[in-house]
Amino acid sequence: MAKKRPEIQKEGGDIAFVSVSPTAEKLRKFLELNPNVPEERIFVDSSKTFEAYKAVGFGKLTDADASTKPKMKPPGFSVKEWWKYITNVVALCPIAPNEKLTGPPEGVLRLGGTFVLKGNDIVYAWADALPGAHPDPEDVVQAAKNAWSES
Amino acid sequence: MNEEEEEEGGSEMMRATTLTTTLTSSNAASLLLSSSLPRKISSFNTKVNHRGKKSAFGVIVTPQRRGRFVGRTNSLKNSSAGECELVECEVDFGGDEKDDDAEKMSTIKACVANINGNTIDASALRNVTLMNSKGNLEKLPLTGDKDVVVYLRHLG
Repeated sequence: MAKKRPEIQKEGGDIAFVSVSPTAEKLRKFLELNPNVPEERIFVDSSKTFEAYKAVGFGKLTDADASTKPKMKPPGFSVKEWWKYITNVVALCPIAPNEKLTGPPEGVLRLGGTFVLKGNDIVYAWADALPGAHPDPEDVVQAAKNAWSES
Repeated sequence: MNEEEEEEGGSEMMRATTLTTTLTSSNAASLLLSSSLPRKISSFNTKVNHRGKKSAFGVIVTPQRRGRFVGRTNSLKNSSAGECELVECEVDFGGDEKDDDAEKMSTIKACVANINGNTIDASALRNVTLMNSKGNLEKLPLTGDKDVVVYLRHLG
């Protein structure tokens, strides 16, 4: 989606990203690995209770309704990308430095989603059914263009 | 609409109000039902009953769009998979609670989303406090007019 920012800006809008991380260090590491994500437009929910995710109604992987979820597919990474992922996943995982684990950390179970806003209206909303089950970025931009062009 | 239908619509509206009040989270906006709601409820219920399903959220308003997958948002589980149902209703955008007039002024008609059984409006996105890359806490900086907000999973 970050690559779509110029197209969104051309329409007079902007994009913001939200993720989960207990520390800013992990976010900085993420930005170092993903230079195409604009630093000033990405933020993390550092609360232990994931308030930013709860506020918009997104669920957890363990809550997924089997009847609605599509098949989970591995990302189409190249060998280089897989290496980058494997060597950095621990540094980026949403576990606080002194956190004691008694099961999967809740941060890894949180699911995301996408919104398009036009003033006070939500004109497009998507809730990821599974990790990686995000909308096609082209569809999101098109939904935004359609809504924003309406008077 | 005859008197009997109106009465039925009114009763459904009361139930809808109760359900909405129960299920809307404290930081989400309160949902006020529009005057045209009984008509909308009546038409929606007909469709629901034909399918033999009685959805808790089916009584709110006529959806503008349906989910790309199964897409119904009638449970508190993670049932919103894919594109979510959008509805239009009156939303309180957080006027000063002490000032009744200010509160009335802030109630406007807006499109909201039904996500996993919660009614989510734009103010829910504007009010979240997040950490930036410098470690400072701030509200999500939106343009207030044309915004795309992407909630990623964790950074890894």
